[in-house]
Amino acid sequence: MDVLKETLRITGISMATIFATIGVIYVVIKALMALDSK
Amino acid sequence: MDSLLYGLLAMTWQQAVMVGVGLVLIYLAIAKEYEPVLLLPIGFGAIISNIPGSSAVGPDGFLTILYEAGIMTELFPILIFIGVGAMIDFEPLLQQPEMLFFGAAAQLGIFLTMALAGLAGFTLKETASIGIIGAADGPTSIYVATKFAPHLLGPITVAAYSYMALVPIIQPPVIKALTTPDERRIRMGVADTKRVSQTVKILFPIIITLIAGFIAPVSLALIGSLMFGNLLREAGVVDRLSKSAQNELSNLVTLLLGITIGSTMIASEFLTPSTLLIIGMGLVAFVLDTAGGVIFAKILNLFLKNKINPMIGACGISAFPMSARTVHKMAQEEDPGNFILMQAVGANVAGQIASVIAGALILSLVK
Repeated sequence: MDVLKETLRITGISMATIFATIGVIYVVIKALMALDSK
Repeated sequence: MDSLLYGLLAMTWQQAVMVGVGLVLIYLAIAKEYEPVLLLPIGFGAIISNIPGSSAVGPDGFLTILYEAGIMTELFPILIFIGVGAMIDFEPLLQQPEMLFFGAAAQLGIFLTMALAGLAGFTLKETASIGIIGAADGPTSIYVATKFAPHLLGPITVAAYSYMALVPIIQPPVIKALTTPDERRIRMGVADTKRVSQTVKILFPIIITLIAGFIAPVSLALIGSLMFGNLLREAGVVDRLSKSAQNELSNLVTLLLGITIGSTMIASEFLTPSTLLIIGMGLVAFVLDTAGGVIFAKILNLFLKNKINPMIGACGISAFPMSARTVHKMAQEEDPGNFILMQAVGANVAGQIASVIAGALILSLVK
């Protein structure tokens, strides 16, 4: 049960961090491409 | 005479089974071409490690020395990542950065599989090593398993590479179960194929390394080596190094990695119920990752005016380019005029970045 609880905690933190990191990368790519087309 | 035939006479039935497993892997590699560059050396490694009295393993055995030098130090998967980075063209992703989010969504299966493995009685570190099979990324699976569950390295590696080769068989039924024919026929328009300048291509690996490093420094060994390989490719001034990373380095390390992983498939450790469970859960991880990506795309479609073909979500797994090809083929089967390959490749490349981030997060969060 402890393993399951810990897994759920890790899942929440990991998925949130993955989406946050990907979000930052998305913004950076958008900015790079916008600068590039100027 | 007995000493000459020691290898045969001393063989237990378990070792004979493992020799059989090695032969099956070699057969799959040669006859079915399932990930042959990995499965062939793994199969051969399993054979020469399970013959009694083998000089290939043991304190002075060359496979044991390779294991300690290249696997236990995590050197081999890191070197492979440099080669992989040099082979990846991130242009489809730079042209359609929104595909990044499918790469993120498709990592959910890793964590759901971890929960299932926990229910099956594995320890937290073992569940993490099993769940990461769903990253569909061989070097990351090896990297995490080496740190957390070296005793499970053999089955985890075999499962990871086997299922990557079986993507065209695993993904279509999952996608079909979760989508309607109308959804599979959704056209996404012409992909934005404007040329990406070399400056952007050079800046991309450097910036990704910095972002990943600042958010999750533990990811730097993996993502840093991946992006270093990519920088070699895109720099335009070190073609010799780029080609060496793509060919000589990649081939040499793959060869050594494969045969060394094979040597970990010792009968006493491999022929256990947990091996069967790991192989079963690896399949579950691939299924859940595929489902996670497809469901994420369907949820997005609830809010989007220009609908996304939900099959693109399935490409968020890291099995490149197999997954993109599979999904594109499925789209064409439904509607021969539907071309979603560029979007699929973008999501697939995004899966490679997201899977490495997922692996690194697991390494930092699992204690």
